[in-house]
Amino acid sequence: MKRLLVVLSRVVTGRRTTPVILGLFLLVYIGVAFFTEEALVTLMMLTRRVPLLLALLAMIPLNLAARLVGDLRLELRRGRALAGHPSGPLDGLFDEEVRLAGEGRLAELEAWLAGAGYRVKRGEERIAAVRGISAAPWRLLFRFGQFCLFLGILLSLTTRAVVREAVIEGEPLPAVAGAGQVQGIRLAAEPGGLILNKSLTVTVAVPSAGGGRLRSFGLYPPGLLNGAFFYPRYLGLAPLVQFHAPDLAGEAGSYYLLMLYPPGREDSATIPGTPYRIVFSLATSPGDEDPFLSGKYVLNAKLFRGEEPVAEGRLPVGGALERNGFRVAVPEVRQLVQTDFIRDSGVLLIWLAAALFAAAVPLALLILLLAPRREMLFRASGQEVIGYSRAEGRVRRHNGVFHEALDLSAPH
Amino acid sequence: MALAVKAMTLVLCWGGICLGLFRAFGGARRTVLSGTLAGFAGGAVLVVALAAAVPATALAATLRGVLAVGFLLLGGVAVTHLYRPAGATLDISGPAAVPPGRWPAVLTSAAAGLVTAAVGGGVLGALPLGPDRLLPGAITLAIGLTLPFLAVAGERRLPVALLLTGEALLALVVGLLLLLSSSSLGLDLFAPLSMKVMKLIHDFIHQFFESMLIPDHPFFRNDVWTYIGYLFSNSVGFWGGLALWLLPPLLLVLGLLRKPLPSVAHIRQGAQRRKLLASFLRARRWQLVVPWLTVLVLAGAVYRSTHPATEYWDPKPVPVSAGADGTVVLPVKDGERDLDDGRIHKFALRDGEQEARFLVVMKPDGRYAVALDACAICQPEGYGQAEGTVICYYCKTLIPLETVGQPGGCNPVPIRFTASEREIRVARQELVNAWVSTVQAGARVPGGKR
Amino acid sequence: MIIEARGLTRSYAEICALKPLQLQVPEGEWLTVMGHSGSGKSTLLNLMGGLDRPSAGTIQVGGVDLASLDENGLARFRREWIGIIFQQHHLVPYLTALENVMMAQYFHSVTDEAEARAALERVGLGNRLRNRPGELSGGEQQRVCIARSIINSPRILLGDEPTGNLDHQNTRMVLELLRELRDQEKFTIVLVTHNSEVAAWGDRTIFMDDGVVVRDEPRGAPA
Repeated sequence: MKRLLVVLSRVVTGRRTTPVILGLFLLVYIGVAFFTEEALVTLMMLTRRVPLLLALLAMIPLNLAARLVGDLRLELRRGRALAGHPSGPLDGLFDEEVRLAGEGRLAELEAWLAGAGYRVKRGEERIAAVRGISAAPWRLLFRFGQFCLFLGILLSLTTRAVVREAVIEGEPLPAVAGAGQVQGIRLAAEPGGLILNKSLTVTVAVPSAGGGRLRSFGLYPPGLLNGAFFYPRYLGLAPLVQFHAPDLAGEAGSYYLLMLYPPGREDSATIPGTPYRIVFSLATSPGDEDPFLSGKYVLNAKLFRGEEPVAEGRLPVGGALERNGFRVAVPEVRQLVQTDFIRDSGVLLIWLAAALFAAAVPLALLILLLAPRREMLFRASGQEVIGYSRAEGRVRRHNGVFHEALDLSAPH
Repeated sequence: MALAVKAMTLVLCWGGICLGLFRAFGGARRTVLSGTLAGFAGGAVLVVALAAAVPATALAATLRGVLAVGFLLLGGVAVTHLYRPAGATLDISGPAAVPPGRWPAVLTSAAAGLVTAAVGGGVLGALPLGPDRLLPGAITLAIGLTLPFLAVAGERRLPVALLLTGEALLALVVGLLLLLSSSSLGLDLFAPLSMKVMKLIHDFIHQFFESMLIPDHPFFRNDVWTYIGYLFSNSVGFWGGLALWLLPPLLLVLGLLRKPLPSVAHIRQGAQRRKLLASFLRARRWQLVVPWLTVLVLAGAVYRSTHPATEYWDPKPVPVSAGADGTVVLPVKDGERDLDDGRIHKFALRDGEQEARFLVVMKPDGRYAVALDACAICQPEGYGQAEGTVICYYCKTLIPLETVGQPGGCNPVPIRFTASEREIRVARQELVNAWVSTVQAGARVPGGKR
Repeated sequence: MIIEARGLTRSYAEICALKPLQLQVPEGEWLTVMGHSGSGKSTLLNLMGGLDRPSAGTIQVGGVDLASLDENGLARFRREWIGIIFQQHHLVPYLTALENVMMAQYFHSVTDEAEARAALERVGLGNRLRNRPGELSGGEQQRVCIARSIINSPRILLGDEPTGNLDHQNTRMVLELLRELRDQEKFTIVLVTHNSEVAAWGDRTIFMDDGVVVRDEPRGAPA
């Protein structure tokens, strides 16, 4: 039992655990890719459904958390040792340990190390010399970012629930979003935007304790509504289409949800109970303003009876198209947004991970390049001197100083 | 000429592998010599038997699989190499850093010989063995059974300081085998790897956008979306594939550079310390030679893969038109053109401003196939024919001739047709509709279809 | 004996710069070689340092017959056994004192800035590390040369008129430094000079004339 615990502990805290697990997932991905074109999606699905894979994935944030704790403890112990506080055995804290017979000659050592550019702190029978800036905080931050990333992936994979519904101007919110009324959908140009050149504002009236209030949702970052992310996907139109055909009695009229954005995209409305289908698209000419920005919609319409085209033409909203006895009219149109309502506990963690990486990586690299941390500790006890050394960068140069310092502390 | 080039490649690769084996197992030269000869001969017999028993596509897939396993193994070893135990330093001991003893030498050299014989035979076109393939077969055998003797002598001329660790030997052998296989369309690994990488990157970006709730592309600035569009382009597969391809030997280099040198702190004289340190640095430099050489070799394999010696049969499309009944009629024999010759024949049907390209081919089973000169996945750059397959110019996927006419994957989109002894008939509307729906859908997203 | 010469001869065409010479130098001794110009003292120094090959006879240094070494072997021998100080300092003018010493390390094995710094501190130039030769006095330049010549821990230090360009005070300073280093590091010094005051610092002096050793005398401590 004890051996099992030891093995488990090694696996949970091991440096190789995460790379090995990622390697296993790579092999599974390669295997899956032989059987399907959608290998990544299939792998995600398999991971959700196969307990072993899920357990392996869960092991990654566990391993990263354990290593984070271990790294932190190591840094604290080393800091205490350099500061002269009791810190227990120094095994594993430094890269090199050398024992010499000798008295230490700490005063000379202090002057020599100070002359070499180190900040020296002398205590009773010990000297600590450091130089540069420790990259440890940024490394720990990076490790924490890794933990957030993989925990976020695990949570996202297992808890993500997506419901896609149309959010239509003037209509109540879909049931999944709770009570509320869509007041307006507005697309605006943002020519100065860094990444996006348009903004989308969906204004919703939601009930609240004091009566009601208006909330607005944009493109990015998506807002939260009743615990779900409000993620606008595709713009479209909900035109009221009135249709008459020579072989039909009366006129059919109904709203249809058509995904017609960006202009040029086609979508079709099938007239229920008839063989007729109308394919719509937005009519634009080069140089025209985006109709979703201007609010002026002119539609191209192609009428099909089965697979056979029977009429086509152009009609503005509020107008009608009459051909060969067929009549298509669009008296009014409302804007709509196909919106994903997403419940996902992992998204915020993944965003946090991205922010942590963006902060930690450049800073750590700069420090390692320009002012890497170098440390030495000398302890004299009786007739022995023990020297410890560690360097995060410029190792050869630091080792040179360490070796000369040892020569100085050894008897001639 | 092509055979001479491929033979030279086999000489280079097999010679390099033998040199590496003799250097790595320096204390067991006779064993290695026997192992390489036996392995090569055995591999030749085995692959000839397999080629007679299974279809060529299955044999090629098997060989590619073996090479892929070798590449994955190298990748795993390279990653493991990075994670050294705490306190471990660079190993600068003796010339033979691979496991001592006869059995590792025998097994390694025999395995290398076996795989080289199989791949070499395939590359030189000796498979399946037949009366018209005796010359390539003989050349393969001659090279395979002669070079080990030359390599024994040649290895003694290599610098003594050139050490070969187990990882370096694996890298050299795998790298040279991949260089050899890149000479053959059917055995090349880089092209399919780059396509899989492209697919992975596309899928990953797509999933990433979905997972991170990033807005759809119409809301992006055009210039920003153009940059993002590069991630969906063909070249991302090449560069991503190249990065993965070169990663294992580069990881070996990185592992060697990151490994601390043995300590000299116990020496109290500066000049002695520096002299020892200099010897460690020299030893490390020599250990880096083979991994860097492997990088060059794999880069060479990429070049061969992207600039194949093979010339594709790609005829210019012949303009055709439909009759009054809306049917395109293609005589089986029309002047110099013979649709029964087993080669692809391309045609172009003009419909207003639209031109639909399609091809006709008689497959090995004697049946015709009619398909668009485009597939449902890639940009419509068309197909060429070589070595019993057709190749999509866009994604470099090889499609066996037997499967042309079947839908799916990167196969050219099949078209319904009727065939008689004298002609093949295709409906104009069928061609135009298929072309419009296939090509138009692909035009929306750079790099292919969504 | 660290240096043993038997029948050591050096001729240049018809000129015999060194006639067959027998010489033994114990390890750790400070040997001074005196003689007027053309007496063969520099030729003897060059042969001891492996900078030249004898025409006849043998010269063994540390038990190794230098004539048996090829060019690479001689270069290795010089790197590891010999330190040389010349009258002209031959320092690289665009490198600092520290860099000049590190250059000697570079040609020996690898550089070590801390060790070079320690060597310059030993010769009293710890505060002149970043100065170029043009910014140093004659004595300081010669001290940089001494640091450069001992950085690789040679067994034998050869000096060809090292104090020839120095004034009396700097000469004394350099010679005191050499004695101190010899006592600490236990290397052998062979110094060529025509100055009897400099010769008085050595343990033993040989006098050369026309390629022959004419006198061999022990010397006491300097006045």
